Amino acid sequence: MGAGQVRPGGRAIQARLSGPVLLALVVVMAGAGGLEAAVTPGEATDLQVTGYDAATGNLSITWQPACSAAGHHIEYGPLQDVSTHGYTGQVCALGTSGSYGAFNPGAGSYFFLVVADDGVGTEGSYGVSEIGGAVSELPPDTVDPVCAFVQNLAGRCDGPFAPVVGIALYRPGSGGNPAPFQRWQVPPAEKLIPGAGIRVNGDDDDADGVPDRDDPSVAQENDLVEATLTVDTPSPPAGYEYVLARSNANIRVFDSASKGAEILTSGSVVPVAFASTSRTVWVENPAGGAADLQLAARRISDGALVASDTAHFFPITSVVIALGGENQVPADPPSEPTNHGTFQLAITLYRMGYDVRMYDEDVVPANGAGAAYNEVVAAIQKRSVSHVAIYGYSHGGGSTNDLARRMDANRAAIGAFTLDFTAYVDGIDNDSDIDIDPETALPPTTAYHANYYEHPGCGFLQLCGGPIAGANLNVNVTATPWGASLTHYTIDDAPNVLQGIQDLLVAHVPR
Amino acid sequence: MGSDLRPAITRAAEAIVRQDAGAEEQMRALREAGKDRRTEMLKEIAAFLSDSNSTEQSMAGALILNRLEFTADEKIDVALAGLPTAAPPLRRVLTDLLSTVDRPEGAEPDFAVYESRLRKPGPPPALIRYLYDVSPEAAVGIMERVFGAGAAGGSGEKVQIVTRILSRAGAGAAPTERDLAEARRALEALAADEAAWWRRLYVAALLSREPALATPQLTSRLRHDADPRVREALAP
Repeated sequence: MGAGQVRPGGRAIQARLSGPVLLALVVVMAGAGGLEAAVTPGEATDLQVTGYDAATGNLSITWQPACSAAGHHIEYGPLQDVSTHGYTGQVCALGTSGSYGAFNPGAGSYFFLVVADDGVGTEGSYGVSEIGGAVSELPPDTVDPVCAFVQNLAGRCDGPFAPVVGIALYRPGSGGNPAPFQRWQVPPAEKLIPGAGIRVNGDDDDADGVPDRDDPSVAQENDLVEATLTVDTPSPPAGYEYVLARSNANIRVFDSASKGAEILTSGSVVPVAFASTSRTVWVENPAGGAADLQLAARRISDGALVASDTAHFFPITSVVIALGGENQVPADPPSEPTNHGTFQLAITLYRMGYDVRMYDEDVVPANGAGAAYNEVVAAIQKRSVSHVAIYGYSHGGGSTNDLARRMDANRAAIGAFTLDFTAYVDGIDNDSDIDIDPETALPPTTAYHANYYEHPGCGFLQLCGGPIAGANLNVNVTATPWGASLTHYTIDDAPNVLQGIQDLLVAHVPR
Repeated sequence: MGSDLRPAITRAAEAIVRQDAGAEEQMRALREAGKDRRTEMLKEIAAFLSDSNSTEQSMAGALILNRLEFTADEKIDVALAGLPTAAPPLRRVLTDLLSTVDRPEGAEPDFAVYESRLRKPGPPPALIRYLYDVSPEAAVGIMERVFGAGAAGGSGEKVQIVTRILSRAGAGAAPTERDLAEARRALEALAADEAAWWRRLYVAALLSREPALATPQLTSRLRHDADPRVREALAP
């Protein structure tokens, strides 16, 4: 296989090369002026015998010049020696036009190939072939009786093409959260397992009456997952391309946060171009279900991947409501980093992949209505959420119960859900901002309730929570070695309390 | 020049937050200072609470307020005196004060506690506004009892229709067009009652929180109502 083969006196055999493995042309280019070349020529392709002059015995040949070549030359030998690469002759200085009309090795049958060179002293690859069961570089002509070139394959301009590609994912956008979280990257180690949570986009962020999944453009869209695609070589070499692929239609990919142009439409694979080493796309989950997204570099001719990176997406099925204490304003980063433990925990959970909403507890009046309730209902009815968790500190604990009670009372109208987890941190009833009674009620239907409270005797000028009948966990921190000195004003920042709630929530609430 | 009570309140609150031994003494001093100035003390505590910007200040202030055991009348007097001019933060504290009177356990409001004040000539506008802000349906109920004896018809059945539909919507079930039409008919009938301002006020208060129930005709009628309370309730 190899080069073009010709039997003088017979008909020219056209050797059309479909890939580098086959054969014969090779090219080399070089640096100039005796300097070491940074790039050596690539491999010429598509060698063809285009004519045979019976009168002279000359062959006319063409080929695709190699990249970075300053010249080309022919290496040839007797056909019977093709398997041992027995070169016996050369034709030098064929230039870079990609054609030569006077190749005449003489009587007999020959193999030949075209090699690129730098026009000075360096030649490139002779191509590859299966040698001894493995695809290997053809050995060069080391005798060089006519064209004195030394092969140098380092830095060849045509490969091998082995780019570095990557997908970086970020936690879902604000979701309408009045206290949006900072942009946070999904840890690369979690990109496949468990993957990145993504909200089912059945809500209507632009309030135009069209569910966002059916809306081609959503100005206030806030449920898509940002994905940064990176490549180290923005323009792949000839014969290669970058593609974006999805495993199924559970995800859609757009070029903007408000949807805009859909990149992956009805198909599952589409070429993607890069103007620089990265571009951002936005992923939507229209109706639930998991899917993979892959960025790959592939050979166009046969689709073989030369590099890829894959991310897994799963639909978020839960919502976590975090309710701070009186006058604690939710924010990321917290406005008081060492004094807003409720929101520190919310931020941690968000970064772990939970869909968390942080609220000032005042959004939950005593009847449980309001923004937090509306968010839970919307999550259940519009985003396929079926698991709910609520926790709160001080008045936020009281509001946790208020919200849970309303959800339970309206269960039939809301739709199917389970209240998987609730927690109080020194919960105080929240009938008003000036209520100081301990919250004593268990949130109805909670599957697991954790109650951390401090109770140093509850004196005349002390606020304190108390045990909750029916709770799965009651921890009087005052009776613990680590929490004896905690007060109502410091219990929400205690690492043991925050870690305890985090661990329990994670154990009981799916993402 | 501010009241001398305010620094005492601040000192007591700080001691409470610190849970130090001086808290009891600070509280005794505060109680003594306000012994003959209960109204002023309550006003100052309300101001302290409205200025607070942390859980520590808020909850300590609430503790002080509760431990000084103000009566319902003291709370109502201070709240009604302050509400007409209160900025939003103080307004919230003052309405919270009233909530401890009419909803001591956070349940549905019982406005009967204000009946005697409503029956006096020229009932306080701030009280009326508060009642309709908290619960238009409960407010119109107490108004019917106070003012409705001589008025034709009543609001009960129509209010029930609206309340039922809104209750379903509030639970998470989107109202049907039929529901909305039924509610609008009830509201239009109440808004057309020229003799009963409290019924028209109910409609205005309701539309301000449930704009989906409004119709151009209804809104226009209420915007030109003869009673300023009705017009103001509709204003954004």
